[in-house]
Amino acid sequence: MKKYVLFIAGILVVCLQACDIIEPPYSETVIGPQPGDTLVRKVLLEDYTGHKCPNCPAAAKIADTLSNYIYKDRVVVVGLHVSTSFASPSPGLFSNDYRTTAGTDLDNFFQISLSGLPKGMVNRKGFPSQQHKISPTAWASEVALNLQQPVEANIEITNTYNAASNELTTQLQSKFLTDKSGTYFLNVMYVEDSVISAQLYPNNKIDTFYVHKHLFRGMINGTWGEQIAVDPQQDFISNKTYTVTLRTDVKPEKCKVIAFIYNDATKEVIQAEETHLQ
Amino acid sequence: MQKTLPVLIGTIFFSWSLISSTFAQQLPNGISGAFQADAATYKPDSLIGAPDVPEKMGLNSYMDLKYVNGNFKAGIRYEVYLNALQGYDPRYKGTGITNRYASYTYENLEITAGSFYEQFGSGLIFRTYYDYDLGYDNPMDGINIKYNTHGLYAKAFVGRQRAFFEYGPGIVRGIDGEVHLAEMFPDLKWGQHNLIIGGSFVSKYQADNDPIYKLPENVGASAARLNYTNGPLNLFAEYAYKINDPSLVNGGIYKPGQSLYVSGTYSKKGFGFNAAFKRIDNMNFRSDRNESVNVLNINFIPAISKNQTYRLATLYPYASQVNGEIGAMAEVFYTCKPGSFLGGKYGTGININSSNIHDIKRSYTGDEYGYNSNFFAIGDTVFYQDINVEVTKKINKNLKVVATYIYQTYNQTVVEGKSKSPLVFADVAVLDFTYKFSSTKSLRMELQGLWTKQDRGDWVFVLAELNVIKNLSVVLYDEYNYGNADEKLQLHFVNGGLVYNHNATRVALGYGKQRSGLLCVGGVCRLVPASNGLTFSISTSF
Repeated sequence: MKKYVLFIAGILVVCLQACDIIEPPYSETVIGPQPGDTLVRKVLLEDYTGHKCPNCPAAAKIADTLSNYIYKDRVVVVGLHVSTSFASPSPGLFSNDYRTTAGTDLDNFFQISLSGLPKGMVNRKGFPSQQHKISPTAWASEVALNLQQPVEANIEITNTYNAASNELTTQLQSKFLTDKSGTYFLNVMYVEDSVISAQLYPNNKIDTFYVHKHLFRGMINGTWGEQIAVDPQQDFISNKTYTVTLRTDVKPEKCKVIAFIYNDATKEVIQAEETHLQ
Repeated sequence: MQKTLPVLIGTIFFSWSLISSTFAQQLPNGISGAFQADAATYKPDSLIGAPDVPEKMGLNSYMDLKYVNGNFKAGIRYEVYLNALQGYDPRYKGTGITNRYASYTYENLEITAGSFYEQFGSGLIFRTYYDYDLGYDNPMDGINIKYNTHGLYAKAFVGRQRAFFEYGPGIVRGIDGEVHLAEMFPDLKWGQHNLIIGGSFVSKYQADNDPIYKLPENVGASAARLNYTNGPLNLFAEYAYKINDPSLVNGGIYKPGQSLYVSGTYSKKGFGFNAAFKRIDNMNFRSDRNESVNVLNINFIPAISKNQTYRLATLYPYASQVNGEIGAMAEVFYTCKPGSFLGGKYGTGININSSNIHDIKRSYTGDEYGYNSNFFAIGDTVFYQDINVEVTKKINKNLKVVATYIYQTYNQTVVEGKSKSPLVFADVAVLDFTYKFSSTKSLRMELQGLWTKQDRGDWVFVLAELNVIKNLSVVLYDEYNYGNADEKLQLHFVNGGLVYNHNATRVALGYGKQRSGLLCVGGVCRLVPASNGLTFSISTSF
């Protein structure tokens, strides 16, 4: 009997040491970006979502927490509505179609919605080994890891909006801060904040006045952007200017221009930037 | 399309059989193995929803080799996905050795190093297994030790879990003990009675790199179980508890999980009765909190709904819901004796089975804790209900008939994740005829119908399987969605094929269209997309 008692005591010791019971508050004490750093690494978080995706609001909340409360402007978020199941319009509350041609092209290429939504990409890292499709609960840790990388490029965006013609002209200066090998593209898009319409929640609940943030509205220089450098040296600068007519269903005062530089071979984003349109 | 025996007896007995076979039986010395390859070609078909697959073809294959020499055994598995068949996780890509182990048994001690499959109790807190068809494989890679003495059976392991061709980020540790009272105290007059008391504990470690939330790096789960047997009677009960484990699947909530599984079976010649009850509450348990579907599961939720095998009956299968479900099932088998009124000349088999599964009742707290739930309260949302009546009758020495009626209530939103989809209420009827021309020649036919006003509407299915040449079967079937509300989608899914069997070798060649749906085994499911093309399969063991 003695050995049984020892056995059970051993189990109890193991059990007690292998449990982390978390008491409220469940949130970490947030340490945001430190003032003074002007050239910093920024991360692109692409949230693949849909207004009929019940678990997507929780994912959007994580993305918003990262970009508005924790890392602030060091996390650049874009929300792309994709797929027939989760984003197609239907009569009534969900009559809006937030899908875009470029968003669908990206979804087809990266095969995000095939794995179910919500999913996202953090700097598109992990492609093509299928590690690029990241669940929302892992976004924060992936963002934290990516922010620890050294800053390799900088993007400056200057926007001019002509209300009469509804035309946006955006000037972009991309500067490489270190020697890089490979071919690099600059991709430019615009997103709209605070679009209010219905969103499905778990248990078939609907928020009729859901605020869709970072809503992807379209590419400015094509789905894959434009090549700006091959094997760039430190201090290499590329200047680009694009003019585009905005969609008529967006509010320009709520729009931002997002630009990012990525490696053509790996698709990995090395720097991102965003600026309000007006 | 072979009709298999109802699996629920197996579901209820499997825990006991696993307990009983805790220690490996003595295997014959030498090398043994198994091989299987499945290939398919894909043609796009926008009407049925078959995608344009760039590689035009998929191939899944594996070979298992096992070497046994006395108390020593070792094994290896090589897997091939070039590329994976449609419907399998695309992270199955490439080739490689995914499983290798060596094991040695010395008296009452067995030690395994490398890959291993193991289960504690019914699996509520720990079960690893391999299902090739589901694309499900979650073995541990580490050390597994088993020891027994005088009715005490103990297991302990530490390892990481396979995730495709890599490992998950977590480390899993587990310990299990079991006391067989009849064996421990043989002097007591047990007769046919036996009582087994067991307990287990499993913990997983995964680093917390999250800057937003305090995540538990060590998540522990424990379980206690009882198993009483007395001749034809077998009663089993297991309760499990898991501490806070916010994850992708549970929406990041901190509520602890718990589950209860109770089953009972009574069987004697010509009569059998099974019943089971389960309540699952927030029991998603994985070695990566950010994974979902069938990846890196540490535990397993036993299924209580009938595992359907007839084609149309599989259109609405039930998948166990780890976030919460409460349900029960009951099943009766009865064989009417030959010569009786119902039995006729050859006897009649009757099987009635019913299951009813709901959501658990929740009151949401509005914070990260998630919700509170009264343990035995039943939620309003129906997940799945079915009633199955099956009659097996041999008409004469040549003709055997199986007649089945099924009524199903199916929650598409919960099981398939379809948004805003209504409950499906479906009637299914099946007639299965087998006519033997001789001991080696036969014709089997299935006539099936499914009627529902929801989802894709009514279906009919006709199958003919002809066995007139030794070892060779010819199969032809058509699945016709004649009741689809969209006339363009009132489609035929016609398939034909040849199957050759010789000893342990099976070769199958088929061509046709396949509708999309779920493939479920034991409550674990995989999405099977629509496809159009040629299929080829070969399997053997040696």
